[in-house]
Amino acid sequence: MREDGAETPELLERLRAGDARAFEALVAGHQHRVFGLALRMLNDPAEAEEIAQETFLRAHRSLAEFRGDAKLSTWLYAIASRLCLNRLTSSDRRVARPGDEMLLRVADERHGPDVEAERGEVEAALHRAIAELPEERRIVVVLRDLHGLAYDEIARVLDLELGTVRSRLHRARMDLKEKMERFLP
Amino acid sequence: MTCHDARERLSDLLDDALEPSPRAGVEAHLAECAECRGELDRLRATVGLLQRVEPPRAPAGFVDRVMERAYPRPWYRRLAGWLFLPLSVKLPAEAAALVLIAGLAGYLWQRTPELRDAARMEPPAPASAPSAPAEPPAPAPSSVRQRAPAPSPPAPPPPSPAPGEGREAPPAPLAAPAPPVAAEAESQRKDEAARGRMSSVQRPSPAATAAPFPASVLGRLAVTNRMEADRSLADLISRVGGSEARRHRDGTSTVVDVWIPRTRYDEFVRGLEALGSWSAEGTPTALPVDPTKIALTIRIQ
Repeated sequence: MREDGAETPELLERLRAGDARAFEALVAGHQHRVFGLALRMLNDPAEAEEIAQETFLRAHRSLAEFRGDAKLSTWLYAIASRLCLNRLTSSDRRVARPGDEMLLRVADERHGPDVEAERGEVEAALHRAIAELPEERRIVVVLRDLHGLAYDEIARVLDLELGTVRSRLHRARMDLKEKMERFLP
Repeated sequence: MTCHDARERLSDLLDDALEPSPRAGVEAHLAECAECRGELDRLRATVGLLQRVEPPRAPAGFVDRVMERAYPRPWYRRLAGWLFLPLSVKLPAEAAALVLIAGLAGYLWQRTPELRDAARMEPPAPASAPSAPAEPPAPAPSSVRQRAPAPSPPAPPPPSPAPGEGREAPPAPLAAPAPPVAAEAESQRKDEAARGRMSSVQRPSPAATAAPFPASVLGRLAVTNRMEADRSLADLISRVGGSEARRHRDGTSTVVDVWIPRTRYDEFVRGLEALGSWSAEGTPTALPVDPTKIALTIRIQ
């Protein structure tokens, strides 16, 4: 599988047949997307990895039943989103502190100190603002603006009406605009 | 269209997700309302910020961890994985271990003289140095024997030690030119040191201690004062740069095995004659074990 996680009918066949190499390629091709979604939703790298692993394990158990009427990435996003929302509402979850910059910096390990210094303030404020969004709005804006899913894909991933997706996205963006006001032109 | 209605659709407008009719209404309002245009610009900038956020990457080893959980290996496979590392890891590790061991062995070899001496002493003596056969005890004090018949012609006589001296000069053991005395003494000191080290490492058994001394010359020294002769003999040996190899009692006699530098042999014999009545059997025509030294067995009576 290519790095971008592109899927082919042949790959789907191998996955359904239980080919371990095909599954490894699936994980390698989608790991960053799934982990990124979990991290932006949970703000905790360890918890995000746990959810991301669980996402792939659930997919592995259900691959034989995957019908192929949606993209594999959409399917994986759906599993990951459900797991994240369940985790966020679970009573025993450690309460993530909104705007915990330390966690966010740990999560975004690619940035060296220089880059962090340049763009750190804006990005940290943005991550704080995302983390403070209500969960149902947060996941929509993360899927749309950070992962680039189309409205109908988001509706399918979250099993929502299209109008609900639009409404939640609009609210989320307006909230963020207010919180990021001082960084806007 | 009111500002509120227009702003509710700004997000859809940015994503080009409005139907033609509502889109026309929003665009008409924006054309007339500067505030709503400003709101649209800020919303666009906010979305721009979001879309420029670098997506995080999964931590290293994530795929392996997922595969480990999806396809768990039986315990014996995991154990084998621990025990038998892949060749890419094993080969460099083994090569490094070999180099380390070789270096350590070389270092120990250099730093441990006993090892070198042991290795040097293992080969048999060269053919030119015949091993001494087991000799029966001397039958009589006066008997002086040469250890082995000389297969080669006798060495030419050495130059006379002192003009006018009436006595026949003691024999020179070999015709080969003698090395400098200092070098001989050095060689002898090394041999003694090696023997000393050997004795500390390999303690000889009583049988080994009784092994025959490879003497080239046997002689008898008759003295009047045994104790004084012992001391004087020790001084004499030391003076000529020789060494006492062994000393034991044989009945009423004291038998002393000594090593004397070949070049000082004449001087040593003169010293013996000064101590008492020295009688040696002939001249040492056999090739000595050590070409630089003469081995003598002296029976003091």
